[in-house]
Amino acid sequence: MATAARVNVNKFKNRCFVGLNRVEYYPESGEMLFADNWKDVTDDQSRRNLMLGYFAPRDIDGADVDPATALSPNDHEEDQMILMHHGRNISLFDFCRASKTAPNTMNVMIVADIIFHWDMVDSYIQPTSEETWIKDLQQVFKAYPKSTKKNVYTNWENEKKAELEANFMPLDQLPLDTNMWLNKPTIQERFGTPVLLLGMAIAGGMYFLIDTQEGEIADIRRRAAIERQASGFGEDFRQIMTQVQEQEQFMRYRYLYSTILKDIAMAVQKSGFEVNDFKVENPTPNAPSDVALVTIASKPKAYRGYQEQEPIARELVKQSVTLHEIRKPPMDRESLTLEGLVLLDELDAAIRKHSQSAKLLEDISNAQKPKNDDETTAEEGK
Amino acid sequence: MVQFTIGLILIAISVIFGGVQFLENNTILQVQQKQLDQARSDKDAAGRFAKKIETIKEVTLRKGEDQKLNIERAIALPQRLEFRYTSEADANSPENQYFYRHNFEIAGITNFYTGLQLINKLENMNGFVIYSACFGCLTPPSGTEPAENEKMIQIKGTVYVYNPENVNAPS
Repeated sequence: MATAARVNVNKFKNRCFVGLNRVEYYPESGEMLFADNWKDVTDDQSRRNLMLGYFAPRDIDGADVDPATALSPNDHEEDQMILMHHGRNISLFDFCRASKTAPNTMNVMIVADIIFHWDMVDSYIQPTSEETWIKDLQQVFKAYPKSTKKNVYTNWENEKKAELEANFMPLDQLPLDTNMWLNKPTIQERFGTPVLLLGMAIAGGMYFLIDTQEGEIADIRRRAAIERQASGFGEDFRQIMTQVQEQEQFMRYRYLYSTILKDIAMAVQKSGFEVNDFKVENPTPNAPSDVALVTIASKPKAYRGYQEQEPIARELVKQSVTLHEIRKPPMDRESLTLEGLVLLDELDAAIRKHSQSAKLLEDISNAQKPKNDDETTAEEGK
Repeated sequence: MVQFTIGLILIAISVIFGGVQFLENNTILQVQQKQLDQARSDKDAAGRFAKKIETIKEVTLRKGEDQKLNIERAIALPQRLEFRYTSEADANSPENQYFYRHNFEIAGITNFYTGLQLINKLENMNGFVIYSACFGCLTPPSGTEPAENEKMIQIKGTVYVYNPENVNAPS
């Protein structure tokens, strides 16, 4: 049973079948030719794409026969040279290596001067001629049961062939398979050129793609540089903006320190707190803060125990307008230390509101002044 | 055979190196696109930011004005008070080519009223931001005798400086 891949016989432009003493040649354009030797009917041009089919029964010891020997048993040195010179341009097909047929099927090929047939067991070759081939074929058929399917491949014509119970087909439809093809090109040989072209195409495509990308990158860089220049600050705009914003954050409440200090001092005085030292600070000097921390410490041993410390702390908060809350931190000191929290954002808002109100009152006062002056002048006149 | 091998090598090299380069370029492209978008938004922001720059310059010391002698003269530091920088930025450093800041400390013996006046003055001077002010929390140096209403004062803060050669808002 045939398992090898099929080969299309039409892919070969020139086809030559070498029989026992005669060859049958089908050139690319032209009529079928018979000759004694395949070298006589082919030339260098036709050998560039030639299918050379021959029949080389295995040697007595079962070994395959060298193609050149099979082609010209008497003078095969020249054949060897021609085959070597043309390499794989001449496709060698040894029909004796044909795959076995399916069960109950036989194939026959009649070509040159032979009848070649093969079945599910083996292949066989016998001489014939254009005059006797019908009779010879009948003899072949007799060796097979009547139910055997018979496929005959030949371009020979004979009026009696219709009498034979066989399926006649032209040589074009000959079932070639890769088992017969002795010098079948390897995958590397078959796809060498396409793979090389593909490689070149991919390399070229990649080069184009990367070149386009790099062009695009350069273009975007150039456009970005233009935009940066157009901004007026150059490339360090972000740096400047960050520094300015940071400075702005630090400067938001810078005018409040004297106000807080003044308020704390007044609260200390009004509450009668026996102060030793006090401090106003940003609890996080390296980061802008919305609160200020006030630390007030009394003179040593000025207030002893909760009963003395609690009232004075309350009074201090009461007298201050900036302290939001106050606490006594856990400190092991002889003096009373209090920590107060000032909400700078609230204080800032309150001062701004007060300033606006004061300005408004001043504006109203200024607006009324000329009127009052006029009234005074009028009264004086009376 | 040779063609096949060369072709395969060509394909492999093109796909591997080309692919890596393509992906690398793709990343660069995305980064550059982001930078372009950022430059565009910066350009839009720059117009609005120009006014802010001018405002911030008005309340910041110019480069050169931050020298200790200049500051002491500007503050008109009362007697027995000393101004010193606790940390100074390198004005020639690339990261300080636009804005930079120093930390300062004023310490000495004075009364509360003078100290408050000094703080008030600092608050209104360009570039000065106080982050700590303390009355009486330091011990007077040995050999000094403060008057009855005098105490040690310590003021800590930051001086902000800009380089007028580099910080120029677009006209």
